[in-house]
Amino acid sequence: MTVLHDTTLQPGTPGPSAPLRPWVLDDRGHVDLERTGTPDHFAVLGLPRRLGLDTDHLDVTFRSLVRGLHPDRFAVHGPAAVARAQWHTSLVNDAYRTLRNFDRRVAYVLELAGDLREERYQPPAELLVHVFELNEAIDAMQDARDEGDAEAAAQAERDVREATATIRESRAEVTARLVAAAADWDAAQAASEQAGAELPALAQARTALRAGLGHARYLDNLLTRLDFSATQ
Amino acid sequence: MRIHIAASSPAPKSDTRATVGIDLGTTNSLVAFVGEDGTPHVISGPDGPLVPSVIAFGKDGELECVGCPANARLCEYPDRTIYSVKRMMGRGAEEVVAELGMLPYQVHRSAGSSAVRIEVCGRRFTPPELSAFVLRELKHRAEVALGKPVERAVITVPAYFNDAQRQATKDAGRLAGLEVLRIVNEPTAAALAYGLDKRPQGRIAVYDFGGGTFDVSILQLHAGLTEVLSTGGDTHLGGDDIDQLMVATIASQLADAGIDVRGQLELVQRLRQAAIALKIALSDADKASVQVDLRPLRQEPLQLEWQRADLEQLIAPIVERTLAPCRQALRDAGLQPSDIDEVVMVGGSTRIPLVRQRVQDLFGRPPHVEIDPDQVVALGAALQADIMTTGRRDMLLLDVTPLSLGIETVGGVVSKIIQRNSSIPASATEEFTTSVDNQTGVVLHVLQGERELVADCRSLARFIIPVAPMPAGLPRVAVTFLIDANGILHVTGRDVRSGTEKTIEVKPSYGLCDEEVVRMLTEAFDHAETDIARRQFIDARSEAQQVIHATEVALAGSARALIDDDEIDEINGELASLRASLATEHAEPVRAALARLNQATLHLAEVALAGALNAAVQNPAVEEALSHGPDPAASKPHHGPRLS
Repeated sequence: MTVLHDTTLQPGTPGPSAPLRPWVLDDRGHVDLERTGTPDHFAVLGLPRRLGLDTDHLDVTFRSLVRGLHPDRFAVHGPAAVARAQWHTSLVNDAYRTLRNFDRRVAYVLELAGDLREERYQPPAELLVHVFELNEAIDAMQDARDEGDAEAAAQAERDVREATATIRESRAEVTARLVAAAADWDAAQAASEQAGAELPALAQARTALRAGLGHARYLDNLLTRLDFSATQ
Repeated sequence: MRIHIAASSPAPKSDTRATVGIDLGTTNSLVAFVGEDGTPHVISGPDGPLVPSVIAFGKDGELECVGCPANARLCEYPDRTIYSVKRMMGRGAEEVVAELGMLPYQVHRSAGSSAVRIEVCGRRFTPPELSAFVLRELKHRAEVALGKPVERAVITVPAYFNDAQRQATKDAGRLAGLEVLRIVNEPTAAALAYGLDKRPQGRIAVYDFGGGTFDVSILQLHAGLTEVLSTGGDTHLGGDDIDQLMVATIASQLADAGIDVRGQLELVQRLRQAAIALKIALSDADKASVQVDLRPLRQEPLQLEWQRADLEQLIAPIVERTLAPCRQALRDAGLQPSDIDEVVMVGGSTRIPLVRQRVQDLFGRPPHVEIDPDQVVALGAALQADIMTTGRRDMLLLDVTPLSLGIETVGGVVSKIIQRNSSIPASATEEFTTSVDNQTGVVLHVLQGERELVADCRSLARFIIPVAPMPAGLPRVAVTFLIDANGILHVTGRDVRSGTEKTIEVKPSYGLCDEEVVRMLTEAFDHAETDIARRQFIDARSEAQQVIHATEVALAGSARALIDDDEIDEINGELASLRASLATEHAEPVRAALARLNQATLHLAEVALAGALNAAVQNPAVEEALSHGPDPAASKPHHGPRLS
């Protein structure tokens, strides 16, 4: 049985971020996923370890892989073939789900480096002022609705909308910063691969990514809460 | 004494085994298959395509009948006629009581697990065993229609079913002698049946409002690849809730009139059936009325008259409750209502005009209602069976898991390891170690759900990972959790240091463990002979009853005058011995007596038929019908779907 498309699952480029375990090949020269263990998501999809990636190309790669690997293709080939297909498809699905989304991709790169520490994010003071105003506006909106004061509710809703727009602007700025940090990381990663050792620039880029990601998550939680208030 | 109609020509026996698609519903079940021409067909029985998911037992606890005949006994024997089994699948005893309310039969906890057992006349059954009776009926029906054994099936479940409910469904298939090739989500199957997979691209919303559950799925199509983007729903919301609400309304009106129906099981069943009749009629008409026998509380029957507006006002909150999961599913898929290209309606409750209107309001486009909403899921399941076994279609379903998977961590908090709406199969590997020296095992508690606390999530299983005694923190065990394409969890372990595989015994919280299924299979095999004998007797009995009736009718008619008294005596003698044979409860004596009666009535039948024909040719309508032969459309056994 063909495990994966030949060009897709080649051992990662040797270097500081290559997988810990070498690929185990089966008697046909294909990667044996069971014996190899869990490969990293980039390798599963046959991609270089870079944050900048073409999502259209990613979609095409995912679909062609899953068409060949899905357990439904092996339903009549017995339980062992199905079990194998389940495992292979799960790796492709997990890799695609993680890499398809930019924020998750960033988190994954940090995780691979053992650098995704769950530290408490400290938002800047300026942002805290916005959040404070926002909470006031949400409370006012709830109160006005509870009291049936339509005019006050409408005013509070406008305030909430305004505050939301500000948060969304901040989120867009954070995304731009993250994209810039991702480009720095890609360059540092490429240089490290060439050098065969991790360069200091890579750790610096990770620090910027970690800060950006913490900021982004903080804002996303806020926006989720705002969405929730709006639908109540 | 009967005119036999030749059965339709049997299916070609090119393939020795058939694979069917089964919609195992709360209220009704169906079986479908894909014919040689590549189109799916629902298999009809004598009572039509729907098999009510109702199982009737005799007073000794032996299986009596399944489907329409069982449904007909619901009012007469409420304590040994079981319905809504699907709502008990993979559930605990307390939950079943809480959800189904007061039940006419006893509900028990299983020994050693929380799974429910239903007691019927002294015998205890698990929900998968009860569902297996329905599945066996469908299997039998398909085998008769296809003329070959049916051993494999694709079975559908609500998209929102958790691991235990899916596993219970798979166990039911196994107990019915079916290899379950795949558990498919109902909305996904419906999308397949609509042939929407033939669209090169597009986003589809499937709104599935059935008897017991509500489901919504957002799908993306891409050249034969049907990818589920998100799914949501409510496992406690269905047409049954509408029925219950109607019954409660009627009961409270009766209470106002001084009639207390509480505890009147048969009467409440009649009210339920009247409510269902009203509900169905009001989908087409602006007003409807129905009469309910109120005995023994009141001699005079109750006359119910409802306007469609009454019903709509009553059920508006229920319909509204279906819209929140729709909005959530759109959000999860990152889409707006206007991004949806097609909306598909599934489930009998979508016949309600108010439901269609509210769905149209939400998505801004009229929904598809071309295929019978009761059949669409079974047709899709048959297509999936065909995809998986023939390889003649380049199509693939990529489903998602409806609920997040997590493990219990310190302080009763759930740590999520696979997020909801992840494409399945999905896997996650976690490493575990020990906290005490010479610890020999690590206890894991696996849960499913979206909440943060263990108490708020669904317990799937607890198990112990065996560890070699070592100083604390030294052992390293990697546990892989895999949710397969059916949405069912598999757990494997590996010792990271030695690389050896570990066997993990998973004890399901609400299901059957493997040994239990094997034991039930053995028991089912032991019972198989008695079950078959019972079935043959029931078939023979119903045939005998029909023949007895027909003979009595003929004897009472004009043909009587044309027959000798000796012959009449012989016929009466055979009638008596046929009646007596029924008491044996065995098929053989009944068949023998039936053959003798048929022999004795040959002359009577001839005379009666001649008289009937004479009468008929004097009736121009009958003459016309006879000259044209039978209407081919009327006797067509299968209804193919229209593919848009």
